[in-house]
This record gives sequence, structure tokens and C-alpha cells, in this order.
Amino acid sequence: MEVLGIAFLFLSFSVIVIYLLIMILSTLEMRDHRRKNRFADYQDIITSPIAPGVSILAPAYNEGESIVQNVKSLLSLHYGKFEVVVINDGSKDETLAKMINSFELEITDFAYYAEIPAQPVRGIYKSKNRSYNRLIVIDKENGGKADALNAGINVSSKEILACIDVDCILSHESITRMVRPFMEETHRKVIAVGGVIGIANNCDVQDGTVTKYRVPSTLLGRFQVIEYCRAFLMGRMAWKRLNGLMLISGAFGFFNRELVVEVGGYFPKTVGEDMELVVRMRRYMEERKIPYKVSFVPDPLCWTEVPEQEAVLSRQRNRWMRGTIESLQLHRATRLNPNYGIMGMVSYPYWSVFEKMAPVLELLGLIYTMVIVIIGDFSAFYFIAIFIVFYLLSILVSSFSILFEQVSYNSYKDKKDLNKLILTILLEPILIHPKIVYWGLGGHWDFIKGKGGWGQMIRTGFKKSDDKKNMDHDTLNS
Amino acid sequence: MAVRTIVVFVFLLFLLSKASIVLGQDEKIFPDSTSFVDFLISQGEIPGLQFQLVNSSGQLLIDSTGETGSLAEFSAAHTLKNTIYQPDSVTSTIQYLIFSEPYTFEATQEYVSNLLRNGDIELLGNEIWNGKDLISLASKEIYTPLLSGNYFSYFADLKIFIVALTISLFLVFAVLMIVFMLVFKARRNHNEKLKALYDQYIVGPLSEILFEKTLEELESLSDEELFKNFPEKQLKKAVFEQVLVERIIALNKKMKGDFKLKLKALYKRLDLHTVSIKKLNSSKWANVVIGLVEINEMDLTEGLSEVKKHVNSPNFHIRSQAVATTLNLSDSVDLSFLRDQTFPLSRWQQMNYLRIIKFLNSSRELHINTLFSSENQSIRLFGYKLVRVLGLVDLLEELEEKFAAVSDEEKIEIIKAFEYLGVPAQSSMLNDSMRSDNVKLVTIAGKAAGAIGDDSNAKIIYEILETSPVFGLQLVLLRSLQNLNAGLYNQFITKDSDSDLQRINAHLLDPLLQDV
Repeated sequence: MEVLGIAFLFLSFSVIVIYLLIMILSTLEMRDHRRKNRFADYQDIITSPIAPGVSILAPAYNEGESIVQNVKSLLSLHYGKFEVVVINDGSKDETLAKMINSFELEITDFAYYAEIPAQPVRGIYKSKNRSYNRLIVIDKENGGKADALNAGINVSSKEILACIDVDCILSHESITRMVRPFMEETHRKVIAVGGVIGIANNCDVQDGTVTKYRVPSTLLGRFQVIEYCRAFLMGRMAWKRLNGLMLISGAFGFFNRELVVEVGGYFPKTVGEDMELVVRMRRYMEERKIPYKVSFVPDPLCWTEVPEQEAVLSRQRNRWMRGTIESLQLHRATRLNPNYGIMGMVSYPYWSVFEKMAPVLELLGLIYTMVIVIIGDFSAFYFIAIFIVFYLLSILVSSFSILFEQVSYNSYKDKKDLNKLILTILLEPILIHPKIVYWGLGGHWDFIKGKGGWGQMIRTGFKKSDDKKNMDHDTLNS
Repeated sequence: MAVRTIVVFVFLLFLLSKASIVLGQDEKIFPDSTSFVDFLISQGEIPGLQFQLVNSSGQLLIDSTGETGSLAEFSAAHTLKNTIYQPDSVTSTIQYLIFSEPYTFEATQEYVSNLLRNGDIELLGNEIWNGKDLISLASKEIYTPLLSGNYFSYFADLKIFIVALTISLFLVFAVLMIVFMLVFKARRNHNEKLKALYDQYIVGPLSEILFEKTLEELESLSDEELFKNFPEKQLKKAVFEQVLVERIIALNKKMKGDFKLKLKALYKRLDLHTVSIKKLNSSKWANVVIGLVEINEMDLTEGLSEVKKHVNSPNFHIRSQAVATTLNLSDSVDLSFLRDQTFPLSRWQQMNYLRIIKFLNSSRELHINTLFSSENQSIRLFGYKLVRVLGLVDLLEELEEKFAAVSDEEKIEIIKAFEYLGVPAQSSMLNDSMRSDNVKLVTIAGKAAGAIGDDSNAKIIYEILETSPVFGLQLVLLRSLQNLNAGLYNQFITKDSDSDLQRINAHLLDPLLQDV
């Protein structure tokens, strides 16, 4: 019991120290980012012949209601060299028909070559209308988001891949800003760049940009605003500073195409395909000792509607947890392995303990507390002290992330919105956090049951980064 | 979900209630006979309990002194048994008397346990029993506060000290971080308000000077007149100075001709140029870059020597801006300073320099070919890109001469320049490249051959196609062959019924896929 107590105490201190470090690192990184931005002229990139081409890959499944509007929004982005590849992933609604009608599409004799294995392609469409010359539509059998992206990669022709959710709202400046890190580095190859996902619920959207920010009307929605600020503005900025980013959101991430193809594209048998790809790309670079960087742009460039219903959110969190477990499981060869640099020695252990195991450890902590209450070895002092520390830590980190957002971008200008966010910060540890833990545990349970994943393969893991590439088509599609 | 929560909650309550039941049950105070005997020895007298020695048939024994009877303490009976009666000569046992009546060992143990449970006797010895019933004993204790003496004695416990210290440090840090952010936000808001206010002050006088004064009048403006528009007191304020600089630079970007000259004259008359040049010596890189931007925007040639000191700065941003400013301000742009740069040139820097060089190229002799002889490959590559983008056809011959001796990466860039400018290259240049082991080089050369190649290139393409190259390369080569020699193309397509080949053929013939 004594040993367990010390272990939990050590873990608690680690959490505090790590959060404080994250706060400091993210502040330094944001300061540098804002300084750099003062001198950047993004207009040049739009027309420069030196700027890289970008293929926007947007998988669509049953998006009939909004697909036309979303694709038009993508086609109107301000950039010189880009193409939009929409992948209809076997939709059962009118997604394809609506695109054919609206964009005057015709089936082509495109010589499709599955450099990365994917479900069969039924047809590739281009528009007769020159106004839609940048648009390519792929119609394929359903295979999930990762599989659809792989088909898109096979068709894409530009140097950079922008993998997005088709229902995301992208700022006109999104490509120019996201491409910059790829162009800036001199000594390292930038393999991927992540972007912030803003929350569009309850906001005014005009011409593809959020013009007026308002916090969502529900507690769950507002909680996600805080959570997104914590994750994107603080967490990822801190990891960027250490060059330890392991996750780029699947809703808005830019990748070096050549490298994505080299490592074999997305792995369709995991629900955490976004994280898995980044980890595999990093492994590839580490195994070949090529200097590289995974970058991140904190500017608000992409927005999405987040789920405000408990049932939908619980499924999302369950999926995220499974994705994390699967990605870590697949790449456990990197764990505490100095050959994998920061990723092996810092990022992987952090993700294992503080992301993957967080709900399990919290549950164990609860059980431990109950046991010591029952056997009478309970100290009210320690219990209250630890409880206060964690409640304050939660409030501190959340408040800091909101202040961070206010200082950096000041999106929520209305004081009423800020007050609502502060109230949410106070309530979150009591009302919402237990649910998040519960949903996370559900993810663990579903992983153990083998739900959705690829049992044996994920348990065995990749011995090398190119294991995925060497898997044959039939195995991947089994 | 609600049902599940209720079920979990009820289950937890059930567990807790069961725990209290378990704790409330009577437990054996003496786990075994030895602990009971140890207890009797250490406890001494116990109310109502006495001991006497009897033989195996239950008769009372008399010692050597002739004394017998009951003994109040177990230890006395035990000693008597061991010392007076020799174990070998007489078999004796200790009989337990409760209120003078004999009882068994178990009954006596139960009697003593009850006395302890009820608090009728107090424990004198050490913990010889199982220690589960301390609460009844604790209830007899007089309350004394844990914090006896001063408050600091509380922290003498190391664990409490560590926890308390952590909480304190954490709280202090947390409060400091939040206060810092709040102060920062307040200062920023204050600065923004101040800037908006100063901006209003500045707009009027600035417009007046620009529209009402000639360039000569502006250059000979007296201090008195100057300070009338821009009060000396305000000019000493850093924020005012910053707003003035930003406003003048913003106008300078939008204005043309005479107005631009007037703005530059005013900038100098207000002595803002010395402020900009001073920034180049700042220890903060951001300030140095701001200074460089200001010098660049306002064409402050007097700062050029200071600017040149930064062209090889290890800081990426300073270096980029210093090179851009040097390119922009130098009368005779000698690109040798760029050629001699040791730092690799990023695409971001190339893009910025290209914009300036493109602008200067129409009015000045830049000698782009200086860059071809750089030791730094990224600079040489930039030079080749400049040839392509600026359409410097006259330099292609020089590139062709260098071609055989350069790396594959440079060959790719040189071929791109020839293809982009539509200038046919020597057949050997493309042919040798198409025979390379480097797929990238073969692809670029094959693609260029389609635009600027000849029959010799077509033959090589045909030969490569017969070796069944990878799909992507096959597509590129077939497209080029189609452009170069339609007959040869058809010959190749018709002689092989390979499905990939036929799909590529269909692709190349599809009018919707001309640029895909």
C-alpha cells in the first residue's frame, strides 16, 4: 500500500510538472510565432513560382446535403498551385450525383494506379467547365477515411498533401499559412504541418471564414472550446518547440507527398490513422537518420462543428482512445528507444502514460482511495490536498489556455462568452471530466475486445517503418 | 446512460455499506492461545480472574511452603508452576477462576475479550492482540490537538512538508502565470487604445504636410513648424514614435511618385531614420528585423553598411531580411555577397529574393551567373531557377556547359529551365539524363524531351519503354513520345496489349486529362 501511495504521489507531481512545462514551452513558441508573423508577407506565396503545389484531399461519405457548398468553398481558396481531390467513399446518398450535376463532371479515362493499396476505384471525374479545372472527383468502394485518403494520394499530383475533412470550413489564407513551414526550413526536412481546428458551433460564417465567434450554447460544446484551446494552442505548440509532435489532426493536416507514398500511406486498419501516419513518417526519418521536423501553425484557419450530444461525443472519445492505443501499440518498438530521438524517449512515454493510460490511472487512483478508506489507512489531509491540487491544476491549465487564446488571437470578444467559459472551467473537473474518463475506459475496453481494429497485426506492431508499405494489397483489404 | 450511472452509484453505496458491516462484526481479539497467554503475563491483575494450580486429576496442589490457594496474577501462577513444582516430578496445570469458579481456557479467553471490548480493563502492555478494536480504547483517550506547540511543528513530518510545499509552489506559480497573462492582456489593450489615439493625432498633420508642402519646403521645415504638427513631447514617447513610423511606412507602400519622396523626406526630418538604424544593434532579433524592414521600405541607403553586417547572420529572419534589403538598396547590385553565403537558402528566402530580383532585373545588370559558381548548392539551384523564372535565355548556354559536371539535383533544375523556356537543348543532355539510374532525373528529362526533344530522344524513350518502367514513368514517357513522334507512339501502343499500357493510352487520349 505504501509503495502504491508513493507511486500515485509521484505520478501526481509528474502531471503538475508536465503541465507547467507545457505552459512555459507553449508561451515561448507562441511568442516566436507571433514575432515571425509580423514580417511575413503571405501574398507572395499565392503567385510565386517557387511555392510548392498543394493537393487538397477531401474524403466524403454521405455528405450529400453540404458537399456542393463545401467543394465550392475549397475551390475558392487563395493559392496559385493547388488541386482539390474529393473522394466519394461509396456514399449511399446523392453525394456523387450532386457533384456531377453541380460541377458538370464527366467520367474520364484516368489511368489510376494504386501505388498505395486502396478499395477499387469505380471512376474518376473531371469537369468540362474550365472554372472547375482544379477539381478531381474519385468515386470508389467504401473503405473508410484512411482508405479514401490513400485513393486520393494515388491520384494527387502536387508536392504537398492537405488532408482535410470535407465539412471543415477553411480560411482563404489556410494554404498560404500552412505551406510556409515547408518553405522555411533550411537544415531539416519538414515532413508534416498541423493546424488548429476551431469550433464553429454557434459562430457566424461568411465566405468560408468565421466572422463572429460565440461560445456554443451547451456545456459540452463549451467544454470542447476549452479543450481545443488546451490541446491545440498549448499542447501542440509545446510539442512543436521540442519537435516532438506525434499527432496532426486528421481534419486539417499537411504532409510531404513523397514521404507519405514512401512509407505506404495511411494504415486503414486503425481508427487512429492520423496519429499512426505521423508516427510512421517520423520513424522512417529516424531510421534513416535524416534531420526532419513536424511543425504546427496555431493561427485560426480551420473550423468544424463539434458534437454537443453526449452519445456522439462518447463515441468520438472512445474512437480517439482506441486510435491512440492502436497507434502506440503498432509502434511500440520506438518506446524508450534512443534511436528514435525525442519521439522514442519523450513523446511516446508521455502519450503512453498521460494520454493512453490517463483514464486507467485515474480509475486505479479512485480504487486505491476507496481501499485505504475501507482498511482505515486513510489520511484526510493527503486526500484533500491532492484533490485541491488537481482541481486547481485543472482550473489553472484551462484558464491559462483561454487567456493564451485571448492574448494571441482574441477570438471571443464578448464578455458574456468569457464568463460562460470561466464557469465551464470551474464545472469541468466535476461534471465533465469523470465522463471523459469513463468514455476513455470504454475505449480501452473496446480495444481489449478487439472492436474495429485489426487484432493480431496491431498487437504484433510494426518492426520497421516500412512494414506497412511492404504489406500486400489483399492483406490490407482483408 | 442515466440508468447505468444509477446502477454504478447504487453498487458503490452497497460496497460501502458492506464494508461498514464487515468492520462492525465481532472479531477475535486474541488470534491464538499464545497471544492470550502473553497478554495475561503482561497485563497483571484482571478483575474477577484468578488462577490456581491443579494436578492431572483436578486436585489442588500445595507448594513446599505449604501455601496454596488462588493467585491474582497469571505470571505468578506461571512462575509457581515452573519453579516450585518440577515439571518431571509432578504434572500440574493452571486452572482459571472467574469469580472464584473454575472455567476452561477458552471461556476465560472469551471473558477477557469481553472485558476489553467493553472497555472494562485498559491495556497495559504492548500490542499483543490483533489491534482491530482500538476505537473503544481511543474513545477513552482525552482529546489533544494534533497541532501542539507552534504551527511549524506540524510540518516536521516530511511527507506533509513535501505536499504542502508542492501545493504552495504550485499555487504561487499558478497565480503568477495568470497574473502575468492578465497584465500582458491589459497592457496590450492599453497599447492598442493608445495607438488608435495617436493614429488619430497623426493622420491630420501628416495629410496636411503631404498635400500642402512641396518637397523642398518639407526638407527645410523648421523645428518650430515640425513640432507644431508633431509635439516634441509626444515624439519622445516610444508608442507615438512607433505609430508614426508604421503610419508613414503604410502610406509609403500605397503612394507613388512625389508623395513617396515627401514621405521619405519627412521620415528623415523627424529623425526616424536614426531610430531605424539604431534598431540594427538591438540584442533582440525581432527588433533587428523591424529595423531592417523599415530601412528597406523607406530606402534608407545611409543604413546600408550596417545592413550588410547582417547578411551572414546565423538568425534566419535577420539574414533573410538583410539580404532582401541589400538587394533592394544597393546601386550596383553585386550578387557576390549572395554567392558567398554559407547558409543553405530556404524556399521562403528564395521566394522573397526572387520578388526583389525580378523587380531589379528590368533596370539593373544583375549578373545572375555569379550565383552559378557558388560553393553553396542551394545558391546555385536558386541561380538556375532565376534563369527559368526571369527568362534569361542568354544564360542557357552557360548552363549547358556546366551540365555534365553538376549533381543530379542541379541537372533537374537546369533541364526544367530549358523546358520552361522552350529552348532545345543538346540531345546528349536529355539522352544522358534519361539513361541515369536516378528515376527523378529520368522522369524530368523524359518529360522535357516531350517539349524540347528530338528524334534521338524519341528513340531513347522507346528503348526505356521496352524495359517496362514503373507506372508513373511509363505515363510521362508515353506522353512525351506521343508529342515527339506519333508514329513511334502508335507502334509501341499497338504492339503490346498490356492493360496498363492501354489504360495510359486511353488517359493520354482523353481531352479532359490533357493537364493531368
